[in-house]
Amino acid sequence: MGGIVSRIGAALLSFAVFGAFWKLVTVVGGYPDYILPAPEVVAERGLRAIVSGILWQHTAVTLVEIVLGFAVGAVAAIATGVALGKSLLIERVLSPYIVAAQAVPILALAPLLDIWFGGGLLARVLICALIVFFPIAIATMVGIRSTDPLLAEMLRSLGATPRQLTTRLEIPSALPVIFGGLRVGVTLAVIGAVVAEWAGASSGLGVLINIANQGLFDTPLMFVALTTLAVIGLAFYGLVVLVERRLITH
Amino acid sequence: MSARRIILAIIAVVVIAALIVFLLPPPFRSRPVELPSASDRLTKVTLLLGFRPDVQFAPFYLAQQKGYYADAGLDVSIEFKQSPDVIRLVADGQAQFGVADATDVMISRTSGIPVKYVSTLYQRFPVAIIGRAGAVPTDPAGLKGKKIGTPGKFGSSWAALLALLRVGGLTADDVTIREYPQFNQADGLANGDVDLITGFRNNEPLRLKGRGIAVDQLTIDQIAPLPGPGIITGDTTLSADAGLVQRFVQATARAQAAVIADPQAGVSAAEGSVPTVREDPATALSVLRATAELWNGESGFGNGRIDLDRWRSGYQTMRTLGFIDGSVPVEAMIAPDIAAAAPSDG
Amino acid sequence: MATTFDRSDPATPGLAVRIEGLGVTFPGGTQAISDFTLGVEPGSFTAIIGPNGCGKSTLLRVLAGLLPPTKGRVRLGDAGMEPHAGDGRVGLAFQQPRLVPWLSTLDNVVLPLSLDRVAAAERGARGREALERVGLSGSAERRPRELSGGMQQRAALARALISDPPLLLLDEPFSALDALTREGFDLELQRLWLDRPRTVILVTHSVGEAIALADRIVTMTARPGRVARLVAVDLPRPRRIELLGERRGAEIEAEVRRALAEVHPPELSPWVAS
Repeated sequence: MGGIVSRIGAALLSFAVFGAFWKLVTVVGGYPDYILPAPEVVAERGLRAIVSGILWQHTAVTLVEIVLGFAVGAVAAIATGVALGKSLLIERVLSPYIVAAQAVPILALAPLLDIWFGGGLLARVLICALIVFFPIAIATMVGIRSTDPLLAEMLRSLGATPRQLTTRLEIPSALPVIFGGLRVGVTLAVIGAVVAEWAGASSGLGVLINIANQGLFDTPLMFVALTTLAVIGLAFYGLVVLVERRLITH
Repeated sequence: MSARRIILAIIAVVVIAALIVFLLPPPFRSRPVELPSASDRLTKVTLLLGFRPDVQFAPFYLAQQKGYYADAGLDVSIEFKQSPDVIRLVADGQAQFGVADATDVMISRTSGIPVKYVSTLYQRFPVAIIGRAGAVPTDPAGLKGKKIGTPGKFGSSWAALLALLRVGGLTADDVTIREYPQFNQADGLANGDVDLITGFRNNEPLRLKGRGIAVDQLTIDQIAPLPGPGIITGDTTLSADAGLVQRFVQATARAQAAVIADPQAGVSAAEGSVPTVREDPATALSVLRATAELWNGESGFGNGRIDLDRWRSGYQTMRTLGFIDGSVPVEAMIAPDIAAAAPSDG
Repeated sequence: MATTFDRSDPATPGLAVRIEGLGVTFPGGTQAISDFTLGVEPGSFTAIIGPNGCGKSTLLRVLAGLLPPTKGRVRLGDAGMEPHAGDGRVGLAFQQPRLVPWLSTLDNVVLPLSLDRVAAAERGARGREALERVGLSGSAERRPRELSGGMQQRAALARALISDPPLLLLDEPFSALDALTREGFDLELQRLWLDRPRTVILVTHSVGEAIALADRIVTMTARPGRVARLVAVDLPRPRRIELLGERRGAEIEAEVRRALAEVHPPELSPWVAS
């Protein structure tokens, strides 16, 4: 009980310090609101955006993209990672393409993907999944490769089939590393949803950033959208950590 | 951790923060515009243009190369930024001049960004509704039910579209909007995804014609007049040295007149800075010719003269459409005296 | 893999093991075992001692069906079938406990049953019974990391015995334990074997352990390993550790040490640069 209180207390303290630091920067630097708004200006703008409903309207869209994009990307990545980890041949054949796809800036590919997949939610989920894919796949591959060979031999001596070896040993033993990849992946899912929206969406927090920036010249509103994205990222990261704690008990 | 340690940590953070902020290089911090008084030396100024080098910026290149700016005592360097940043950076004094849409000036000024529109570059509004020949309504009421492609729900294209719809008794709900954030709405028109698009009169029609598609346009100047793009400057620059602003505006007007008279000279001036000119000089020339037509109003391009009637009616339109709330008067947004002075001889 | 023999028949106290001219060469050329021939009576307890790297562990892996022979053959039981990993005829315990860290001790012990898709209720009952036999009843829900080294090894033994295999292979199972604990475990192993006879082959470095437990001690040559000597241990059972101090025990120990000296003199001399 005391642990949670001190954890929340520490978090609040760090937010307060961050807010003070931010305010200090705007005051000492003399930044006007339209270049770097002070935290209380952003907070006030945020309150208005919440009350008018515009913030939730865009947040809901982005949340759906993040959840679906992460789910699709993570499942594909774990499956691919297991294949890469178990078969040296598969790794040699596939990894050049995976690495190349990762190196190409998704910002350039996203508009094409948007057109190819019909420009709707599907396209955006796919773009987000693509961004999420790489760290999770690599983490899974590394985790599978680091299976304890002594345990693998023990299981084989008990007559475990290759499938049992994968489901009973390799994947559970790789979970800590896989969750490392999932932590990275879930924060990338937030970025991925925004990038996908910039490729062609009519609502969402990424779109709100554009509208605020280019249409309304409302920098505080842009910061509200950015802050919301940060909060979403934090929340999802915390969820992954929570799941990790439940699943990994050793 | 003990309370004392926590307090020490906070103090350390604040001290480090202050150090970082004080040690930042000067351009990061707002400072009053200091313009060195030029005697026999040229005043260095920066001009910010949006997006990327384009042949329509030919007058600026020409003025640099033919010495019009030097004659006016100016050493102009040109930088390219994202369009929304042009207004913000000019307002903050980090650059002296920029080119921006009048509609964006209205919105940003209402948001409290201290810029002023000091000279008109385009006497005709450059955005129009474009469609295949024969398929473009001549009356805005005919837009009802159409599928219209546009880059996004912001900017002068969006304002022009809504203004037209309003004259036709319609709203955005009466049409279907398809957004093209990559500015490729011409593709959507070409492959039939949309019936009409918003576009720049000196751009999309030429591109579509080059693909063998004949087009018609519905322009707004007669129907729902809005002021076109122009030169902007920050309040601090203007109050520090109005003469400097005037000299820049006049030198630019001089170059604009030269390009209108001889578009090929404009193309040659732009060649060094705009890669597409070198790749396709013929298209560059037709684009510049089309652009020059937009610079000219009913009675010539007026050396940047600001049309007060058009500004006032445009302001009302923007207010009715809800882009601005009217809290900042139109007079605060423009400096008509600057361009009203007679141009220097050239 | 289901069990393929009938353990309910008291006439089969364990599998006979016939190793005929076994040779094992690894890819890369290392020859671990060469021309190894040995016959093991059903229900007997055989200890194998030899220098490091002589192939003892490799031999056990071949017997467990984890490694195919390069030359020669191995036959188990009257039917003379070849080893097949996981068919329930062989129980195997390693030098390390090799318990799955995220499973409870009980789940670890019943792992062979779980891989065979035995129903949960039956698994639970047999698991608790197995734990009781090794004295770990109170640790059923604990994780391996909560158990001491000795307790983990007991759990590993329980796992090896849970399918009641007629052949038990032990690869230095107690070498990681301290000497006193080890002596106690040796006595417990003897007790388990006397309660429920089966063929046991124990690889060990401890002469005392071998004499305390085995009917026969096999010494192995250095790589490539083959049978060097066979020493019969005719001490009465149940044996006590003190036996080694008594006359017959000491005689047997001396004989075993002589046999060992023949196969790996370098290890008995002072450290010299090799």
